Amino acid sequence: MISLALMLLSAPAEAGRADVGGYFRVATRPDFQGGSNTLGYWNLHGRLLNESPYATLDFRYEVLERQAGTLAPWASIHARVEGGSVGNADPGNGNLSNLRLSQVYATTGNVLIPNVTWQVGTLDRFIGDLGLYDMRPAQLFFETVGASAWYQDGRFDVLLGVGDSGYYLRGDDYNTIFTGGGWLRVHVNDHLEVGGGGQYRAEPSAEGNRNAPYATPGLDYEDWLRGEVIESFLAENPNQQVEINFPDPAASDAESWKAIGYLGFGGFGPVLWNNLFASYERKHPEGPTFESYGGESYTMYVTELTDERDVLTVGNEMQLRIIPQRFDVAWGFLYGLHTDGDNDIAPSDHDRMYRSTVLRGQVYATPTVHWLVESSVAEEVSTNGRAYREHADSIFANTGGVPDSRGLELGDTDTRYTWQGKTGVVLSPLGPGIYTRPSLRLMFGTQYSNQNNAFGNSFVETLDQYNEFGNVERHWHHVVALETEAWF
Amino acid sequence: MVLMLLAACALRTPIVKAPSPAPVVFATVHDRYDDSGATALPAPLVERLEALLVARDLRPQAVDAATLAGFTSKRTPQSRLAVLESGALTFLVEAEAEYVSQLNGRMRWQVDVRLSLDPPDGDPITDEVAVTVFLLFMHQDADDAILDASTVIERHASYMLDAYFSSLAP
Repeated sequence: MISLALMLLSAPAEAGRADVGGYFRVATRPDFQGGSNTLGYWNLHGRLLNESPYATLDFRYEVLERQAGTLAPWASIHARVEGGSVGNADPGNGNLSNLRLSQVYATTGNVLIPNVTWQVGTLDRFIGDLGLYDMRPAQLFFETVGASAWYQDGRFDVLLGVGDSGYYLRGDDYNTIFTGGGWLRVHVNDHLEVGGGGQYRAEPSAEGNRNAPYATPGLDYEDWLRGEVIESFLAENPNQQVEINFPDPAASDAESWKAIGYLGFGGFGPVLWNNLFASYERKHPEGPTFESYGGESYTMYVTELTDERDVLTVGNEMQLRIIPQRFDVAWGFLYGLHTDGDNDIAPSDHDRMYRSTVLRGQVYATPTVHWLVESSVAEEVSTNGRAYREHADSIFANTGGVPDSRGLELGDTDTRYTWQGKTGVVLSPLGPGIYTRPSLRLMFGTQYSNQNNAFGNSFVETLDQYNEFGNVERHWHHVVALETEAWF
Repeated sequence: MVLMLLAACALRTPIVKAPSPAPVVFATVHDRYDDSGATALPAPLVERLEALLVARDLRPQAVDAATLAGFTSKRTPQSRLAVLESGALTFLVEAEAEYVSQLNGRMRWQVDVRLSLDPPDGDPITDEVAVTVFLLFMHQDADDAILDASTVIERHASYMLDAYFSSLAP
């Protein structure tokens, strides 16, 4: 640290330079079918027409500017504000409470080791992006604050990081969650790259700290899911008092990890580049949850009920130049498998499989006027019971087609199929390119899903005889969109 | 059909040609943020800039490799223009590209460009522009960042050349 400070002090200081970059997308998607601004539920069907507004400002202040032609030390300060709300375009109406200071860090380079960038602060970093889905399976340290060293020499790219993810994962119930990891990416040649890495999180027990990992002994998963732990305890122990006789939490440890892989190739024939990413993650166990009974609030420590949640994600995106300056194509697929070894009784986001493919073509009538066509098909399967409703009255149809007021299922089918088609005109001032931005788009999108009303909405779902609004059965959904997106 | 109509309606910016065909000393320099020395700008960008010059009845004359290598130690546009001085019009384009951060799935780069047009009988005209570009892939480097800024660089070069030749018109 002393040598680092001395080297910084001995370097000639230049006037700092501040700059700002950013990203935003904003759209209006009038929906006369009663939807709320998106064509479908989420990015599995392609980000286009399925994402809501977002805005990011990325600030940099160069404390010590880089000098071309030298290996002089340099340093910069970064801060990022971002969030999913823009005035007049979403329910948040651009209120600043929807934004957050998501990243703050300092970086310095050419200190101690050439070609190494030292970073202290937030550490979020990814190898690449699935642009069609706006997803980044090969991402590390998203939730971590700490320090990292990033070596790059054009052929090898090595990242090592260490820090704490406690505040992101626990919030007010903060407890230290040590996080360490890194990646190695090798640029084999101009046509091939491979990479891999991972991160590990450890949350050791800390005696006396109520936010440390604990497990309430004898906790039954179904009781916890229903919020009936105390009720069941009293039913089984009618002569006991919860405050005195309910089991004390037992100290525990929590851990989680993520492994990532990457294969990139391209630069031949029509293939501009292909990114294939894979990740396998053991999610971090949850902190305490709360349950009310008899006007009192009770705390349940659920480390052991939430420590077997795994997520496998495989995603690919290929960019093709079919006719230079005239026609480009991007094709992607995504596969996800979520498993929860603790839960075998109820459908949830932790027990599901999904897969989809998206194909986008863009024709350049002129360098600045384009025609875009995109289509996607997707399948989502709940692997732990029925999770989707195909019909407005399907609340009556659980497994076996019989009503079950105590059932844990949510619908009448375990599979959701969705097709989407989108087309429109794109104005692209900076010229051709599927990902050239800014782009100003007039789009029409249509969706078919076997699920009833498979899009964000405010429909009344109750079948109560006093329902004043009625129910609607709809599988086709259409939206028109005026939207713009830019990195700047 | 609509797209065909739109294509037919595409706006074209008129260019201003040199009063008479003339040679132009044309040099591009990529100043790198390491100790590898100055190089020429990426070939596709150089070709686009050469096309601008040709469209204005200019005959670009490239500089030799030794001169370009000498620009590693001569870092100011004044010293570089002095080296290129030949009595003809000189057009010098210098660029630096610096990785900034990852942003919403992309790699943010800052490209600083300096354009200098040195008439045979007058003071140099200069223009500086900072272009923020966003690359899609991690393996893309400073050359890719400069290429990504081509449209903006080309726009500034065109404007500078047209402004200069307009000033020569009677």
